[in-house]
Amino acid sequence: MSIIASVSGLTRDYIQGTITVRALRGVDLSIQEGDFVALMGPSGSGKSTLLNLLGGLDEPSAGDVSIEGTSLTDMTEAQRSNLRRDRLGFIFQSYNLIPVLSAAENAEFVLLLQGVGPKERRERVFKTLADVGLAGMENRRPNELSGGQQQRVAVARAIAGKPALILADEPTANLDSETGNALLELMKKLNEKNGSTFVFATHDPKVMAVANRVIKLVDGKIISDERQ
Amino acid sequence: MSTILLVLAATALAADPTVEELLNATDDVMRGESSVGVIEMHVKTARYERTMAMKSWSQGTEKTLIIIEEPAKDKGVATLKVGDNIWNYLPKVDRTMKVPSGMMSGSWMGSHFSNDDLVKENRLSEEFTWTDPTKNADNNWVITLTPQPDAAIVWGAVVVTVSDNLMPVKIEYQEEDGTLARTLAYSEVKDLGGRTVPTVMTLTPADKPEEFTKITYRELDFDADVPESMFSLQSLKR
Amino acid sequence: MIWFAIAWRNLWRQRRRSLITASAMAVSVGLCMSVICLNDGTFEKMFNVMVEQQLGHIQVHNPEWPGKRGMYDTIADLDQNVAALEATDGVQAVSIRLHGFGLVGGDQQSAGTQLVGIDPDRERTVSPVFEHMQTGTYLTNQPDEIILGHALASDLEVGVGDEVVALTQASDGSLGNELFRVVGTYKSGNMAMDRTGAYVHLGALQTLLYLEDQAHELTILADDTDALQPLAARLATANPTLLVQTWREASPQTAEMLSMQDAGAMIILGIVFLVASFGVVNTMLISVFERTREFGVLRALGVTPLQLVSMVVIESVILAIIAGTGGLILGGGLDAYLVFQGIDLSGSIEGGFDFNGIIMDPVLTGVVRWQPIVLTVSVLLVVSAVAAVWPAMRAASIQPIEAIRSE
Ligand SMILES: Nc1ncnc2c1ncn2[C@@H]1O[C@H](COP(=O)(O)OP(=O)(O)OP(=O)(O)O)[C@@H](O)[C@H]1O
Ligand SMILES: [Mg+2]
Repeated sequence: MSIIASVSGLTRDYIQGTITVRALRGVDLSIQEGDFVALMGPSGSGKSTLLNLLGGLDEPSAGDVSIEGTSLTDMTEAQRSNLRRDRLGFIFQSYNLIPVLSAAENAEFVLLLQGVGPKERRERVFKTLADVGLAGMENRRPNELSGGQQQRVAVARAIAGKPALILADEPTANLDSETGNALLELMKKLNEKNGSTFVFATHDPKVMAVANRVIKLVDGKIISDERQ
Repeated sequence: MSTILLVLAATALAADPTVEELLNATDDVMRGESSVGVIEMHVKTARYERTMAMKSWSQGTEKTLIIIEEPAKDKGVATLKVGDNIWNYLPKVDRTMKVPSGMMSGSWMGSHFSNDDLVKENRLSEEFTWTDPTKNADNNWVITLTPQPDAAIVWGAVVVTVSDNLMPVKIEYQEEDGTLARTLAYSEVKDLGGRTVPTVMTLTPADKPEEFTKITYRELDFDADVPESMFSLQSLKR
Repeated sequence: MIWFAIAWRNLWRQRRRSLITASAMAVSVGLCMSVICLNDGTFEKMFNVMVEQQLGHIQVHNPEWPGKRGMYDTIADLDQNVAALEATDGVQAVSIRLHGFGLVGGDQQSAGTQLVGIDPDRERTVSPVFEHMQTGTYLTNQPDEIILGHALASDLEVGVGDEVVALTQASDGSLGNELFRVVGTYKSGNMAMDRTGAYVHLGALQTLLYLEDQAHELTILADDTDALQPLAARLATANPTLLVQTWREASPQTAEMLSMQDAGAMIILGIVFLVASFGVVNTMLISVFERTREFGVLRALGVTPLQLVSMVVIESVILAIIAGTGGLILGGGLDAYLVFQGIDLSGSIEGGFDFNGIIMDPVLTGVVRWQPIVLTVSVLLVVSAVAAVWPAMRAASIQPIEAIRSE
C-alpha cells in the first residue's frame, strides 16, 4: 500500500490581534491508498484546518504536508493549483457547485481543466453521474436539484478527475440523516469499488461505521488513530 | 521787487507766438479761400522712381481736384476729393471709381501719401491737444500734439516744428508706441502767388530712409476764381 | 471554450445589470460614431475648402514671399519652371497664380479685391470649386474676362455681363487700370475668397501689374496625398531657387486648424470611453464581489489565478462585443441619417455660418470613414479588457479558504 499523503509536525497558528489561536499543534499522520478516514473531534478541534492544509488551500505555520511524496511547501501557487486539479478532490459542506453550469458541466469542469479529450470527457461524466445516482439529471442546473442531489454532483465533480485523495469537510452536515446516510453509502461504495481514498471531517457517528480508520482530534492534537 | 519780475515775465510771454498761431501757420501754408496750382510729384522707392506733373484746384479744405498731366501713361488720371470722399477718374477705361473706406489708407498714385492724407486736411488745432511750445537748438518752435480721444487719427503723436518767423519746418508722425513713422519736411521758401511759402514738401518713411515722395509747387494762385462745377463727377470725365 | 461558456452564462445571471451596462456602452459607441461622422464631415469640408481649393497640396513660391507676400517676390521664367515641376514624378498638375491687390468696381460701388491671375485650364484641375460656378461660366478665352466671389459680386452690385474696372498700383508705380467683363461668380465656401476674391487671365493681370512672365505662386496637385513631404523635398532639391512647401508648411494655421478638428474627435472619444470604462470597472467589481465564494471554489478545484483573471476579462470583453454590436447598429443608423439627411440648422441660421473663415452649409452632413469606426470599436474592446483587469486581479487574489469559509 502506497502512502498518498503524509503530514509531519503540522502546526497552524491563527494570529488574531494580540492572541494566537493554535488550531493544530504538531500533527503527524500518513494516509494510505484506499483509506476511508473519518476525522472526528469536537467543534474547533482543527479538523477543517487539517483538511485545508492537506489540500494545499492553506499554509502551515510549521511542519510539512506531502502529497504522493512531494512537499507542498516547496511548490509555487500554480503548481499547487495543478496538484489540486490533477490529484485532489474536494467536497464541501455547502456543495459549492458552479451555479451557471449544469450537473454534467460541473462534473466535467475538472476534466476540462485537466485537458481530457471531449469523447472521454463525455463518457466519464455520464458514468460518474450514473455512479452517484444522477442518471437523467445531467442537464439540470444546481438550483433545479435538491440538497442531496447537489452534494452528489459535488461528489461526482470530486471523483471525476480520478484524484488520488478526496477531502470532504462535513459533506452530510447540511443534509437530513436519510440523505446523509445515502451519500455516505455512496462514498463507501466508491471507496471499495474504485479504491478512492477519502478523508472525511465529520461529527456524524454513523461515519465511524463505514470508515476503516477513525482519527480523533482534540485541541489540535491527534488523541487516537484507530483502524477497524 | 516781485512786481517787477512779474511784469518782466508777462512781457516775455506776450512776445512769443501762441500755440494757435504756430499751428495755423502750418495749417494755412498752402491754403486760401480757393487756389489753383501746378505741382510736380517725385516718387522714389526701392523699386521705381517716377516724376508726375499735375494741376490742382481747391476750394477751402473741403474740395480738391488733381489732374495728372505727365507721364503720358497716366495722363488725364484725376482725383476728386469732396469732403471725406475720393474718386479717381481713369481716362483709359473712361470710368470713375470711388475709393472705398477700407482703402483710404492705401497709397495715393503710388506715392508715400495715402488717400487719407488728402482727406485729412482738417485743422491740427481742431483734432489734437498740445503741449506748450518749446524752442529747439535751431531756434524753432516745437509742439507735440496728441490726438483727442474721439478723433480718427492713426498716429500716436504728431510733432510740429515751426520757425520763429512762423514758417512750417517739419511734421513728424509717431506710431502709438512713440517710434517715428514718417517725416514731412518743408523747404524752399519762396514767394509764390503773392505769399511767402515753403514750395517743397518731402515725405520720408522712417523705416525706408532711402525712399521719399517730394512735392514741388511750381505755380500757385491763391484766391483764384474756381467754379463750383469743377468739383463734380461729371467734370472728371472731360 | 469552457471559460467562454462560463463567462457568457455569468453575464446572463444578472441580465438586467449586464444589459444596462451594455446599453450604456452601446450608446457611447453610437454617439461616438455619429459625432466623429459629423466631425469628419466638417473636416472634409474644411479640407476641401482650405487645402484642395486654396492651398493645393504643395506650394511653390519665391523664397521672399511667405509672410510679406510682396508684389515683387515673384517667380520668373514661368514656362521653364512649370515644365520642370510638371515633369517630376508624382506631380499630377501645376497651376499658376499671380496675386495683386486692387480696387474693383464701378462708379458707385468698389471694393478692395485680391485679384488672382490664373491659367484657367491649369487652375481648374487644382481648384475644383470652379467646376460649379454659381452663375455664368468659368474663364474661357477672352482676355477681359473676370469671375468674382459671389459675396464680392453682390457687394459691387454687379452680375454676369456687367463691366467692372480694376485699379491697382503696377510694379513700376503707375496706376494699372483695366476694364473687365464679369462672366461668372463662384461660391467656394472660403469667406475670404468669396468676399474679396476675383480671378482673371494670368496674361491680363501680368499686363495690369506690369509683371510680364512672372507669377507669385505655383500650386501642385500631387498623385499621392500621403507622400507630400518626400515629393516636396525632391522638388526643392531640383529647384533650389524656389521655396517648395507642403500645404502644412505653407499654411501652418490651416494645418493647426485641421489638426484641432481631428483632436476634437479624439477628445470626444476619450471622454466617452473614460465614462464607459468606469461602467465596466463598476459592473465587474460588483460581479466579482458577488462571486467571491465561487472564485474560492474554482481556486480549490485547481483553477490558476491567471485563468481566473482571463475568465473575468473574457466576461468583460463579451459584454463589450455585445455592446459594440449594438453600438454599431445604433451608430450605423445615426451615421446613415447624418450622411443622407444631415442636421438642418437653416431654421436658426440663415444661409450658412462662418466656421474659422469657412462658410459652412446650414445642413451639416457627415462623412463615414471605416478607420474611426474600427478605432471606436477597438477602443471599446481594449478599454473593456483593461478596465476588467483590476476587478479580475481582485478575483484572483481571493484566498480559497477565506472564500469557502465565508458562508
Ligand atoms: N481563519 C481563522 N482565524 C482564526 N482562527 C481560526 C481560523 N480558522 C480556524 N480558526 C480557529 O482554529 C481552531 C480550529 O478550527 P477548525 O475550523 O479547524 O475546527 P473544526 O474542528 O473544523 O471545527 P468544526 O467542527 O466546528 O468545523 C478553532 O479554534 C478556530 O476558531
Ligand atoms: Mg470544520
